[in-house]
Amino acid sequence: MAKENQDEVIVDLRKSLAWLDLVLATLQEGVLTLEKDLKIHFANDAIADILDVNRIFLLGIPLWKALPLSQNGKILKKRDYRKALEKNDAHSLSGNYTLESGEKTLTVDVVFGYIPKIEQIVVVVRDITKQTQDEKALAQETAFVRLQPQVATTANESESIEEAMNTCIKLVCVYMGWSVGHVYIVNKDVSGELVPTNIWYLKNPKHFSTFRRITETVKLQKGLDLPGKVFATANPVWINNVYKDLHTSRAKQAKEAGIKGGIAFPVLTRDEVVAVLEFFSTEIIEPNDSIHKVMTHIGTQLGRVIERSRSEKERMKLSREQAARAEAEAAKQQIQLSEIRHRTMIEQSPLSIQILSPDGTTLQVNKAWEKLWGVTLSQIAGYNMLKDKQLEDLGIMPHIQKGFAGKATVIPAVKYEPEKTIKNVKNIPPRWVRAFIYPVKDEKGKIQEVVLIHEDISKQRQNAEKLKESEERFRTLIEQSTDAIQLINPKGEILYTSDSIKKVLGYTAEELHGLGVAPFIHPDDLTYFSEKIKELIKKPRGQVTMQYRVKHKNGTWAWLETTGVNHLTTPNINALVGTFRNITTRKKYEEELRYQKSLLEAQREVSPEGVLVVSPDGKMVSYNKRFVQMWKFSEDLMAKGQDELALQDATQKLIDPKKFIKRVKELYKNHQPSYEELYFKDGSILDRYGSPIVGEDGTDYGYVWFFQDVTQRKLLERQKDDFISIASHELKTPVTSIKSFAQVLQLKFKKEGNSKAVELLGKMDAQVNKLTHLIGDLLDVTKLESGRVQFNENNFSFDDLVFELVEEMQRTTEKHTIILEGKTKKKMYGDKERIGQVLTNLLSNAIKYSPHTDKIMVHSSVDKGIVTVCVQDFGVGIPKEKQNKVFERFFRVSGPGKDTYPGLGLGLYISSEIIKRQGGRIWVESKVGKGSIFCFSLPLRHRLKNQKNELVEEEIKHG
Amino acid sequence: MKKNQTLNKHKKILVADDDPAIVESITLILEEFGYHVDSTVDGETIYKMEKTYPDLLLLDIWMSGQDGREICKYLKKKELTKHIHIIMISASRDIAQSAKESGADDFLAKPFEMEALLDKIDKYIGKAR
Repeated sequence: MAKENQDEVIVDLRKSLAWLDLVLATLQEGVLTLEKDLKIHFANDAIADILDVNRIFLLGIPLWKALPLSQNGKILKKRDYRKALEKNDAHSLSGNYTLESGEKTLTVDVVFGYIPKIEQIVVVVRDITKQTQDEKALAQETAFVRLQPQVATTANESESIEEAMNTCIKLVCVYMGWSVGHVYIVNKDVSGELVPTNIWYLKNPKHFSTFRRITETVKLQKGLDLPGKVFATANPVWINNVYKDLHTSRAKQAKEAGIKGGIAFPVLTRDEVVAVLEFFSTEIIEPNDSIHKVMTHIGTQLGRVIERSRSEKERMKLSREQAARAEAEAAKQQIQLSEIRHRTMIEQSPLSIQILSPDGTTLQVNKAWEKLWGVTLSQIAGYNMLKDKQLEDLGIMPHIQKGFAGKATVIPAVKYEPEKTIKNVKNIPPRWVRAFIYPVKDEKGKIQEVVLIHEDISKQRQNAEKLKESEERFRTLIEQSTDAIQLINPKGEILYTSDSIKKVLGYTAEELHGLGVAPFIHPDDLTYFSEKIKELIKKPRGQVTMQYRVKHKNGTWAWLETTGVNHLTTPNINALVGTFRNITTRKKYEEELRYQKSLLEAQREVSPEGVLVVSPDGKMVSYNKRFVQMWKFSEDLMAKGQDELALQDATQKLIDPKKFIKRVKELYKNHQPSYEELYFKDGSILDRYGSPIVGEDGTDYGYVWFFQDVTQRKLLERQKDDFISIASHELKTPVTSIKSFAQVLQLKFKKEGNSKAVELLGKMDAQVNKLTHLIGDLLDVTKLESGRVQFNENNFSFDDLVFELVEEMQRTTEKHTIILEGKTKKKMYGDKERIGQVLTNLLSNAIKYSPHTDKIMVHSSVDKGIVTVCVQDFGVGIPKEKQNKVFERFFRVSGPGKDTYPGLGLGLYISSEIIKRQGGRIWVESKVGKGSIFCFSLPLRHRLKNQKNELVEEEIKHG
Repeated sequence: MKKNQTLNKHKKILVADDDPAIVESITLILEEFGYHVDSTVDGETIYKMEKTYPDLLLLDIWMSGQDGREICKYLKKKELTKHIHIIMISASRDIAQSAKESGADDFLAKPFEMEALLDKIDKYIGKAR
């Protein structure tokens, strides 16, 4: 991973951590993450609160132990989880559960989700106990709306009082979710006595068989047991303690059957109790107005039936049919009234209500429903709930089918997207809804309508989803990052480690859980580490960064960089949170870098060169001692570290400060390498080499200067030059006298006619001339090197010069014939002597290197103000690879075999230097064995650079 | 080498060079060709010259401490001596210009061909006899 990315991730991570603090603190929903083995890997404080345990104790515990969930009395077991996981469908476990937490029984909404990247399961738990209670109350309310007309119908249509009662208690039980319904009637023969009937509704007849048997054996006196109390008061009565309120014989059975609460109410005719209906539930029954009203209503209805039955008996003459018709008519009116009433109620209800036909089509919806879904009834024409693919996909179809099959059911919360189902509607956001489905049956148990009540829980759900997402993101970030996170307590015990620890140190998070930190730390770093931890503990919310070595699982020591944050006082964290990364490689690089740096520093200090590094804006970054010495800066000045002062001091010492400043500015600007000499007022000379420092990517890092004190070297060079100069001059003096003496002698022998002596002296003279020539070359080279060649320029005829020299050279050779071709007919301006020297050199070379041929060609020409002279021989020639070297100093052409030609090898070098200085160029074309053509060309007029007169002075003094 | 017989008296040449061997060898040559030769190795003596002035002065450009050009300038300035032809001699080939500037009639680089010396002398004062 590129370093930038890493850093970004870390920054993100740190943000997330801060964010997590906040989330954890404010999160009302419990959050757990589970490993594949369903052990808890992460738990927040909200879940700890729900479960009433310390969060830390949850870590590593299997979910089914930590969170005992049950649904409809059935406990969710390990294999249930496994099954869902095998199908990769953790979500299918989502729903409402009962959770036993200590003393409390909670209703919780649990959502299971899967985090793909890290293969963990996230569990979000919401305590909806209170909400469920409210929901139940609402459900009851709704049920009553439907129950009342149902009871009325039943009562009217029943053949007998028994049948009416039977249907009634069943209806009530189903609507209310009660398990037991039973009827007592007033004993007509014995005053104040209730007789148990065999009219029962039992949710589970087997389960309650004993209870039923015992109940049926006991007649109740007014005021005794639950029904007795109702008989006595003619008002409904609730009980929540079966032991206290039921007679002993059946209290025990009630308890055993799980009955927790009961309710009984009277059936009244003209304020007279004629029967008592008792109901029991496995849940506590809370008294409320609604139940009271409904029960009173039912009681009245039933009383009317009884009354009617009585009057029927009295009016024996009235035909049964007529009576029935009349009753039917009355009932019909009653129903119509009731219908209007309850439709209005439905319409105005704040709850979304949908009434469906048993075939799944929608019969009616209320305003709340339309508002919830954003569509009207007409828009869902043709919609069949039982064929809704989405509901199937969401996994709640079984619940719905249960409802349509006749069982009131709570449908778990789902996210429903209307757009998927309903055509031609747009922009309807998905809704999270929880629903209650109630089948409405006729007296024969046939389903007539199905009522569906929705509750919009989108808001809560969105929040939960967001939290889940954030949590996921946070976890993913932690786990994906190269940094690991660890929570430790002040004692140094590991509370939590993120899985990324594996990347950092090779251990798994589980391996480390609960262990102490100390044994992992390098003994040399332990004191340091402890000090740092102590420091951190003293700073609530503070931060400490440390670097130390930790044992990697593979046995090596890994360098860690840890940023510790003190969250001991942060609610929901209460730990030291460390973010650490393996910096072993970085450490290694750092060490290497330090080594390189010290090496470089040592080199720099030892270097005889002065070194100065400046930043891109020209500020001094670093320099060595030699630099300070060379520039003769005082220590005080350097200590001040002010660039302006140093520059001022530097320029004062230079002969030409303006040029210096201009040049430096230019170089900084153009990023060019440079070389020049700096002349100081005190006579010292520094060579200055400079180079821009440019990174591989073109970044400008400034400029580096190297200074070399060449004062001594320059002085020595000068002395050497002077010496050669003097030596040459001194040599010339005896040579001059030797030559003169020889010539006098030759003269005398000539007079005497001693031709042999004349010949020998002639040879001697020729050798003296050679010696003179060599001395001349030596002097010329020295002068050229030191730039002390004096050019005496005048106008002269180029053709004359060439002619004279060719003539002169011809005189020195008997073997060769020099053929002159071409004319320039030009006057040229230049140093006639020096140019002549070049041509003489070329001619003498041509003779020297063509010992076996006899022709030398000289050709001169002019073109566009440039004269060219070529000297061609037909001698040994020069190999191609050596042709460009012939103009170098001390180069000598070797002949065939090992033959060498005498000379210092300076002639062509001197020639080329002279031609260069006269603004021309010199070149050669040659073939081995065929000969060479040496040419030079010169401008007729050229500008000569300023000569220094002092150099001439030097010359003169040497005589 | 032909010897012209002239009616002129011996032409007088002064050779001034700080190297005795050069003075001697030049003197030998010039006497061989019939010139009357005086010589000196000390520049100071030239300043002290009286009455018997030479026709031509062969002057070394630098004689142990004495600048030949100064001598040259001095002589060319003085009424009594400005007629003296001066040929400067030097080991350096590059000072022809400098010699001219100081008023010398000609310049000759060391070492030189006997003929070159005689030609130059002939040019200014003619042959010895």
